[in-house]
Amino acid sequence: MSEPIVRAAAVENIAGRRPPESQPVLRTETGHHNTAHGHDDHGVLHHHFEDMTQQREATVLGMWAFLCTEVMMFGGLFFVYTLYRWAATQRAHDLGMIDPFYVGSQLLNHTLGLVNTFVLLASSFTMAMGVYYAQTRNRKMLMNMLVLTWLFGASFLGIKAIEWTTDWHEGLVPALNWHPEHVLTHGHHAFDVAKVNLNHLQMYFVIYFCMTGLHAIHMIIGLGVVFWFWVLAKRGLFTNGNDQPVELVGMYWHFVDIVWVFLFPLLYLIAGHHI
Amino acid sequence: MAQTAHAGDNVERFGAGHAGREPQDHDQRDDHHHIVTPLTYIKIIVVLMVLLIITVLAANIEMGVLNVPIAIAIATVKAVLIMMYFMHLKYSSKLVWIFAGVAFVFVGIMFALTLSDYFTRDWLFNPGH
Repeated sequence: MSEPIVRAAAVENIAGRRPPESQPVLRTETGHHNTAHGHDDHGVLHHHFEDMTQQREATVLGMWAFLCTEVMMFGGLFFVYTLYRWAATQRAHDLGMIDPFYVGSQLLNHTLGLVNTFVLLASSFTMAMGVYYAQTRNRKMLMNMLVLTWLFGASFLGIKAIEWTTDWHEGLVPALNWHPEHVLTHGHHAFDVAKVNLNHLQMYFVIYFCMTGLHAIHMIIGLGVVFWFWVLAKRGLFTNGNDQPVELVGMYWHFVDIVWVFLFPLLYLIAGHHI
Repeated sequence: MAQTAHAGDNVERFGAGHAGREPQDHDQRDDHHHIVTPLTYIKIIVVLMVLLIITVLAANIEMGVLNVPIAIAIATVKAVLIMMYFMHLKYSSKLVWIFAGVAFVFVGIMFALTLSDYFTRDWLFNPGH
């Protein structure tokens, strides 16, 4: 499929006419579904749906059902965070010590965390634009947007890897390499080790690695799917009226972005309660 | 079903099934599909970036117990914007809204019931604490 044809098709479609390459999809002139005749291996309308509206709603509904399970999985971790932050802060307050969750957040690199949040928001924007270009049947721009989304996502993971490596070298990895005393006394922010409950600080980092780790797993899966969709988009599979799969991948990507929108302030931006 | 038009939105209707069809077989090409335009996406991403900067600034102001609620409120606004516009919830049917909301309801139940247990455990053994 050459580039000029695709552009012409997009223009033609906006004008309200069916582009040549979308001929095998949709319905036959008698109103029957074309897939029933077996012509179409990536059919726009699957035979078990009445019409496109029903199909769109059903697939979107299915994606939201999956995202519900995702919300509840991350919700468990957010609950653990809430409970331990409350308990650790209360305990520190009662004993006149420093809030270990505040100490933990101060041991993270706030600049990298902020940059990563910008990067992830940007990736959500390019993903949304990818959906737009799939809907308007612009194959080249859809591919570009998927590439940008992938690059932003990969940059996020790269920056996250730098942060984790630093955490490892600073002895901030619970159980595996847990020696926080040095960074606490010699780090950017010096703390009185006697006034920090190191077990509670370790709990902060257990939660930090579980939450950012589960989020990173979702990012890796997302990168795989975006790459796969770039390959399919290159073949023109999503710019013939079959844009719905791109929207579903976009929903997953935006969900992962939303998780980070909550993780960033909760893990990095804990205000200091100096006692 | 999912095709309620919102006046004032930069949304055009785009029917993949419309092309080249005769007007009479309306039921067979009932595919009113919203396309959110790039301008809307640009507006939303700018608002999201501004909210991110506000989050960072707010966290650097010592406000005691208010810091956490403010941070969560800003994050919630960002999440709602992403769901409404990037995930097209605004243009979806009521059924989709219910599915999108039910997860947060259940997470809310988990938080409310379990935290009410933890928060009140001291009351048994330390009356007046």
